[in-house]
Amino acid sequence: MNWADFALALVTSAVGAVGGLGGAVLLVPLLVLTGTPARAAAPLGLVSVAAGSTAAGARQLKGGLVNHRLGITTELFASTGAIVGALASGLASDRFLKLVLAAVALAAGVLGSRRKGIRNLPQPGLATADVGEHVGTLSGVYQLDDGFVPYQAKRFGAGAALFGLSGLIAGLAGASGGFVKTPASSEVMHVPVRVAAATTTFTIGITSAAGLIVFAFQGRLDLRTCATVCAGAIIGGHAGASVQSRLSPPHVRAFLSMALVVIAVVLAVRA
Amino acid sequence: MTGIEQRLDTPVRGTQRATQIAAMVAFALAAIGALLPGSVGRAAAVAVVSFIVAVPLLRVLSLAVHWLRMGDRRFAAAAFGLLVIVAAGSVIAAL
Repeated sequence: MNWADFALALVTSAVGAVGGLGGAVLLVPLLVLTGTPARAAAPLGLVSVAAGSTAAGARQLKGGLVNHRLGITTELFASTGAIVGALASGLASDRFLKLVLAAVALAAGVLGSRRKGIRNLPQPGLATADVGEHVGTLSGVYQLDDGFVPYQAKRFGAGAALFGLSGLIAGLAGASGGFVKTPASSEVMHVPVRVAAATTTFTIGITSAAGLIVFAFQGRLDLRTCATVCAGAIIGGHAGASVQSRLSPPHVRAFLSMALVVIAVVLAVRA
Repeated sequence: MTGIEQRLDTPVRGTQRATQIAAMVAFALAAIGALLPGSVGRAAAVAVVSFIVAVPLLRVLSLAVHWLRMGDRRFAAAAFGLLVIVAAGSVIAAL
């Protein structure tokens, strides 16, 4: 077992879970900076994302926050993007993949630092029995402290385009693309940020699965390292989620954003 | 909104428990795959990668069936369509 890969997966998943950006966006650039070729690092990133999504699934379902209809509908575009990205990355040079990774890290850093607060407000007359998603629509109700907030996804076309982009990023770079999905849902489609984040956690598992199948057929999976990264990501994801309430997510996000910008610059210079 | 738009979905029974178990199985397989040498470790590594790929896709399949049973045909079609996209991507990658 490569303990360095295990430690990297654990720490990046923990920090990513606290910051709400996901661990792969940190893991893949750090693997590349420590000598792993970009072509080999991307599948490990998706393994870390898929493991994190599996580990977080039960917790997200408990709160009734995931809107599965929104997730599945937008995932049509994200998974298509992931497959196209993964197929394209098999033909791309390592230098090109490093530059894509640098751009992705920079974009994640900038977007992560710009995340906004609460948009949708609680509505009187709603109760615990109303919490969940509605049949036949991209709407629902979620609980926010003592109140209940209704929501309805808007501007589906623009959101779908951004989900396609997030999938492309996942397939090309091995990062989850969650840093695009969550803002696309909350800022473009006006879905409450907590619902958007929970739904993203569900959908990044599907995007990763689509990308990983392509990588497997390309012979790019080092299975032992995948198992090591998977173990680290599951422990790190749990640890991050358990300390999330004790740390300040905005402060962690600010730190993460700065770290990502530095990583992006180093990657671009080294490419 | 019409009546159908406001009908609350009933989550698929047992999904939360199944997801908890899936996380535990994934970790156990990953630990064996990472730590044990030889064919057992390699088999566990193959199993964990297959497992974390299969879990989200099985969840999509269960949602598709659940929505079809509820009469929510549009979203059931979207879920089945998603599985078709992943299958098509696999076929293209295999060629």
